[in-house]
Amino acid sequence: MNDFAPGPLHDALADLAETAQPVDLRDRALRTSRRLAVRRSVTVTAAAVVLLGVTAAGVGQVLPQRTAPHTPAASDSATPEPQPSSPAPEPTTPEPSASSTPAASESGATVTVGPLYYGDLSPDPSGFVVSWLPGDTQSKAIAKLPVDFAVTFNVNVSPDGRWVSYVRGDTSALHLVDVRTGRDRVLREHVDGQCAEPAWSSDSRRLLVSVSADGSANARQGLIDVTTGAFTPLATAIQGCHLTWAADGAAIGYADGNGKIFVAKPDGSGQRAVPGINNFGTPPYSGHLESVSPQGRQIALWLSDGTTPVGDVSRGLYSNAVIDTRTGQKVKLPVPDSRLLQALFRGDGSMVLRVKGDQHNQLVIVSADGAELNRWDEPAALKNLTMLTS
Amino acid sequence: MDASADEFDAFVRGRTAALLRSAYLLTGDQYLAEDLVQSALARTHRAWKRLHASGNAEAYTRKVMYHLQVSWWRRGRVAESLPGDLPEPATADRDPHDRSDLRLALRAALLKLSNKQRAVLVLRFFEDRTETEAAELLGVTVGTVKSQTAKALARLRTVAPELADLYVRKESAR
Repeated sequence: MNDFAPGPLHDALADLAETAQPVDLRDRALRTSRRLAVRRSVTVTAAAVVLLGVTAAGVGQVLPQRTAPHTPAASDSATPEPQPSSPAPEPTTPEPSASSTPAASESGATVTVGPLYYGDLSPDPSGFVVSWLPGDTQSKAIAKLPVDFAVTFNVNVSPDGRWVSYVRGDTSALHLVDVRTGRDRVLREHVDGQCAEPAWSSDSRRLLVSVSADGSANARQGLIDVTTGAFTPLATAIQGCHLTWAADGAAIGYADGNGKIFVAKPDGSGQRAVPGINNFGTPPYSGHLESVSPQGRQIALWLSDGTTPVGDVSRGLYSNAVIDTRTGQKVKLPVPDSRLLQALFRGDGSMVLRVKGDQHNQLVIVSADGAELNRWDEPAALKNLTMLTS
Repeated sequence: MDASADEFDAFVRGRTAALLRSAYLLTGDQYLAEDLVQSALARTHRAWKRLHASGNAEAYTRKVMYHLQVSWWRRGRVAESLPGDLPEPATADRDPHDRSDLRLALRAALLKLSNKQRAVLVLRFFEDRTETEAAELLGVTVGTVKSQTAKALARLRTVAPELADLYVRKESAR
């Protein structure tokens, strides 16, 4: 109980609040709802997903993939919605650089990708975190998180598949779930789970987080060692949201919250705006950065032409463009923009593109120079889940 | 249109005005308030089936609204919206000049608070929530609500001493 009389302040606030003009928001809310439906949840059925109890080894294998790539043009499906991608992690070995998974030669050699992770980022989430190894016919649930819309905004899986991180909306506590044992522990209190989702380093040992003891206005970004819990602030503070590691760990990208996208060194220094992306109100602009290529040379993001709502702070893991961060030019992709759902850079500069389809989505591996290297059909059970960016 | 859609429409039309009033205090701007409420209602719509069954739709909507607002995202946009002309509320019953000045001063002072401090003030002093309710809605501890409230009031006293009459201590208010 505070020691101030509520009367005068209440009355003054009520008087000020009366200046808000009544508006019918029904249609606008429904339009936004349809946009959110892109990430609509699908019930994870027992038929499609083998529940829990998955070992790290089971999750981490890299299996041979289909050798004969499909034709890039027409995918055999068509409908879903945008969502994000995540780095194609290597089984047990960390280190980012250009290797996570050998991005095959252009001569048609088989290209493999490690397990990918999916979450249910819908407003009415199931809580499942799912692993899928491209080429497998089934996905596996590796964790079941508290059903909390705040959690679904920020869940991530470490590149080695060992840990699931999330921040509870009701406590602001950063949790780590050990996928091997299912043990859930609090790693740190007062962590931002909305503006800066904890992001895994490529060695799966550190999380890039935004920490604040008294609200996000005084947040400080830094790295948490997941073994010791030690927090090391970035040398230079960042004013932005959705901090994203470059696939090789050599840069970070973020949205400034006013429409621009920035790239910086991993310690926060050297911040530079990506040319051609403007403040809200002057298209094109963006609030949703999905993935950053090695050295921060390219970014995958949702670029708005001004015809869609600005949206809000919540995580938007989906892309409709890949941009060169030095020139601001769009990078040509071997899939139509209208069918691109998510784009994820890998350590070697290649990309995993998630392309929408009717019954199921597809994953297309594209080399750094834009050539398609391989393609897989996703299980239908993943169609409405969102690929997670570590 | 099915019954569920009708019920959602009725919810939106019945509660939007109240949500906008809180959102206006949180953002200090009509359009930002609309954007905030729209985002919260959209999420409510996605979860409508479950929320309607539980009867917690408005609590959910407000929780989403406060969660979105206290994050960093809108901070710059809120600051950009300052200052501006305030429309006269429909129900003015005292000296319109004094009230207008008070509104301008209060809005300017609110926007000098952090998003979380502003949220705590709105919950505690406008919506008359208990500390426990405010903590639940913001996803923080009761201790955080207490400390943020104290900081917010102290900050208001610093940035807007001319509004001292609003912060009368209980003893002297009697």
